[in-house]
Amino acid sequence: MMTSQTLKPLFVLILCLGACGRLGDPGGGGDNLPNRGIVPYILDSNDDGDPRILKSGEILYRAPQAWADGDRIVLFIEGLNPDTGVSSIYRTESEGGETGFDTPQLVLSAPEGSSWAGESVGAPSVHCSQTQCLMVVQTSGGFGLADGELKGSFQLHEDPIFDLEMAPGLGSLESPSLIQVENGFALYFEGREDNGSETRLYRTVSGSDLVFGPPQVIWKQASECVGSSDETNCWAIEGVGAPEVRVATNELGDTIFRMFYTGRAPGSSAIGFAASFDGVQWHGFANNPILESDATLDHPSNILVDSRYMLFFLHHQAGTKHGIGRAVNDEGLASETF
Amino acid sequence: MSVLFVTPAHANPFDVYGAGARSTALGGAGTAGARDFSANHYNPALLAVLDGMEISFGYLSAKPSLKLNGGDLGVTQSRGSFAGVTLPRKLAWHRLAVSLSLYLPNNFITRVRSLPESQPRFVLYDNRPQRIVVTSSLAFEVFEDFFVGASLSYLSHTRGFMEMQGIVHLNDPGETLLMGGVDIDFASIRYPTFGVHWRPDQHWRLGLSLREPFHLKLDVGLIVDGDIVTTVAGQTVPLLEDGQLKLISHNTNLFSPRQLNLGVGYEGRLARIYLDLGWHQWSTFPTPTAYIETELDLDPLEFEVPTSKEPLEPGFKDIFVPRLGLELTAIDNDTIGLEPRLGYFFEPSPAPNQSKSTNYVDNPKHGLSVGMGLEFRALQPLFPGPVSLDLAAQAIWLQPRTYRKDDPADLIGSYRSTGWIFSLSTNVNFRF
Repeated sequence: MMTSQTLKPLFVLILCLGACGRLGDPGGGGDNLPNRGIVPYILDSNDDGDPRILKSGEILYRAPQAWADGDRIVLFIEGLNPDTGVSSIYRTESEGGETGFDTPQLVLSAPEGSSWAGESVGAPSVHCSQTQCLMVVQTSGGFGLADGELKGSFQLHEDPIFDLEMAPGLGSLESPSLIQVENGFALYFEGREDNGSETRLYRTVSGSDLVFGPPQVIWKQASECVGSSDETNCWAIEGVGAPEVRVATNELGDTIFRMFYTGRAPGSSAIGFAASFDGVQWHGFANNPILESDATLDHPSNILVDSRYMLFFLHHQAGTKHGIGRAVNDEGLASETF
Repeated sequence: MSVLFVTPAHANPFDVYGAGARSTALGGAGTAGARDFSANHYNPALLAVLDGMEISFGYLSAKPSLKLNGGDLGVTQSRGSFAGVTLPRKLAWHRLAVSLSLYLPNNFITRVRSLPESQPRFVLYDNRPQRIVVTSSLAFEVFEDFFVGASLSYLSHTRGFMEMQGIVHLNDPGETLLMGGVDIDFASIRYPTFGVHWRPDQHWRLGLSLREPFHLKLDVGLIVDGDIVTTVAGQTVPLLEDGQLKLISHNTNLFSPRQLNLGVGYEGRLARIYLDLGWHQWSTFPTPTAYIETELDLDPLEFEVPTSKEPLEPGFKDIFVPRLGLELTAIDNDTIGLEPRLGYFFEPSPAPNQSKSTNYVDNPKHGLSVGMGLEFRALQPLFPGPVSLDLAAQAIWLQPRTYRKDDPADLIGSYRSTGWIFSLSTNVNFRF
């Protein structure tokens, strides 16, 4: 039979066990989730809600292309002089992912007397290897190639590397994006067949000699949206453009081609995402657009700095707030590097 | 022959980390080898084998470090106290026992959490270890050295609605009048466990147990019934009568599969070895995410609400789980007994490759455990019978696994999972 003397140590033990516990946290299991940097991007707004990290003044800045150099962000931008209508390429940089960028410096202008380039160069796409960089720019006569140093100025080659003669059936070429692939280069760009048609994204490839072949369409607005006026479900009703392609590596060591691009609708444009395993067959993100606002967002450029994905873009609102905007995605652990 | 009182479900921390320090140290090979309150979990028929009344108290702490792409997800630690009491008696020459055991987690009574299907989570460690367990069992010796036992598991589904009725004023919110009420049911659910145990001779032990599946539902919703009115030229005009908005979230979570366990043991004077083989029917695993049912009836007004996408089936498969336990007799005299223990189990993953939008992460698991039992046999008059202390330490290694997505634009993308879970448990047993 148990006696009160016998039960006493049992009660002590029960009290001890109860004291071992403490109130627990309710959540758990959601830290450090893999983040590919697709969504969500939060506009990098300052106190007055302005997401521009670079404001246009006498020069209208547009078509940014960002390059991560360690923890330094180098931004190549097209700058348009509205008085002369001439565009050139500028560069600015910022340390450690900060929003403060230096005053942009001129790094490339169209050479005087160029028969094919005209007076303007724009929409830069930069591919750097250590300090040496190749830059593809848009001109009135096609895409030109320039080379230079990441911190220096660039020189435009004498001949275009891609023009309308190499793209039968196309009426315009814009916004090139150059990447290095296994045996050479791939060039992505925005094109349209004629003035009334929708814009699409094209791809052409070359060997190491940068001689490109005929392009093929790799991305266009959803087929069910062609000819549709349903702007609710068809966010890129006027077509897609301004591609920026990056070659990334995921945690398994697989190669992933990432593309941010612009989807256009009457009076507005937003930013979408697509990805590919081979750079040819592309799949759109299920919840495009990934970034939109009441402003026009165009020419996206995506980099990874200090485990933070940053998206730079042309931000243009009601003819007043013109410049380069930035949005940041820093949730979880960055799972794709490039 | 055998009926039970209350019980809790089997989707519990005992499934995940083991019940009782002795059985945990033996790798969970308790279908033929449990000899304390943990038989409530492993095989209730074994309870009738116990010699005298036994009361046990213990504590379990398990710390997971489960990682995706090298990042620790911070899966919640499991800690809790447990206790058990077993009352064996003889009825004629038949042995009979009733038993009750309890696991009381520190953090939650029960946690049911439905995450979006795309959010990666270690699906077997998310909710499963976070719940109260109450088990009572009855065991009976049918023939000499042949025992049967059973238990009944019990918990409750939760089904609750907030219902609102009244008038919605379209252009003057101040005139909107809605009366609300809350209606919540806690419907009981019970799940049985059956076990048999046979001792063909003084050394060999055979056991078989069947644990029925368990899942917990949580349905919550909002129902608004009413008329919609507006103001035209200063007059209140009805736009429609008897409109209805129904928004119901269906959640199924906290699941444990049907389990059939066969156990064999050999008990010698200096060593005892136990082997279990369990079949776990994970193919019936329901979708562990919420499904939102939305209905809007505003006839004749034309409004549409977006329909919720039906979650994908998880597509889990059945698995076989082998367990092995070894117990030695190091010291055995009139005052003290010491038994070192060692155990191992391998649990394949029932989860398929997560190539679509779901991310129910799980890995093949290797569990290695060590422990010891220390029995004090001469504590009279403080205690009338022996007092024993059981200790167990267990390490579960989640073998690295890679998941590749079919869609290159998938939100989460491909990833790698791995991890460790370390657990400590101890219990003290008083025999009378």
